Amino acid sequence: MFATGGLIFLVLFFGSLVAGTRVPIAQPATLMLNPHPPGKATILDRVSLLIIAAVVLVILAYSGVLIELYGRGLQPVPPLSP
Amino acid sequence: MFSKTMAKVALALFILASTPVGLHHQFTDPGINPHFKYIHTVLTLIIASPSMLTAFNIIATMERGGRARGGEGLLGWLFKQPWRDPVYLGLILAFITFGNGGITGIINASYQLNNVVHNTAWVVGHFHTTVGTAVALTFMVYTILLLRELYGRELIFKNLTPAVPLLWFIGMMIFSLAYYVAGL
Repeated sequence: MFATGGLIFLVLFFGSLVAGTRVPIAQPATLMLNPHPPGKATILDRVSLLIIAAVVLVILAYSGVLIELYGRGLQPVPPLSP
Repeated sequence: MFSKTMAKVALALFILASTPVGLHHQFTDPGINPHFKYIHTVLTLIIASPSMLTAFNIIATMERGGRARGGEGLLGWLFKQPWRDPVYLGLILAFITFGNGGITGIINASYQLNNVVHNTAWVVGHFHTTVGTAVALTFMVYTILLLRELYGRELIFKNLTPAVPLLWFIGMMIFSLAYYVAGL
């Protein structure tokens, strides 16, 4: 049943790309998720941005170490079960 | 939106807590330190909070919109939603399915219950409700939305479009529930 839904989606999408009526492409402004001009950044916005940056840095940091470890055929911790 | 602040808090919590949770599918792996498993359990359970915040925010926004369109009574606002819009319909069905996938995710993250469902068809059902429907269906309906904006083409057979999210949702519900039962 869901495969039928997926098939209809593919037919509609690719069919529309080929045979859909041409319409003028919207101006970039109409694609904005929030049509209102952005307000002043709050403390929460700044903290959220810092959190995102910190998470990315942490992921990069431990990913590098793990890639190095696994690349040498090692494991970060020994198997716990005999 | 009912509360932008709530949405921002939920997003920050999601990014902070949902990145390192993958080990909740590897609790029986002896090569992983149990301390890391514990951390991932706690973080997985923490995700339930922003998930509930988001659920409340979306439903409250829907109610506010439905009442603004004239919906009255306890559930009258539900009938005033733009259900004929395939993008809206798809997003709400994806949202409902994500609730299903989230609850089964909590079961995966529970150390004892994980021993019951690990390496069974249950996990396949869980993935089909989270990634296979919540994510995939959202992408599909957004593709329909962006077709006009990005490619400058009108959708053909517009009346057929609501069949996409409906068939996907119903089919995936039957599929996933069958996998849950099979896994147990």
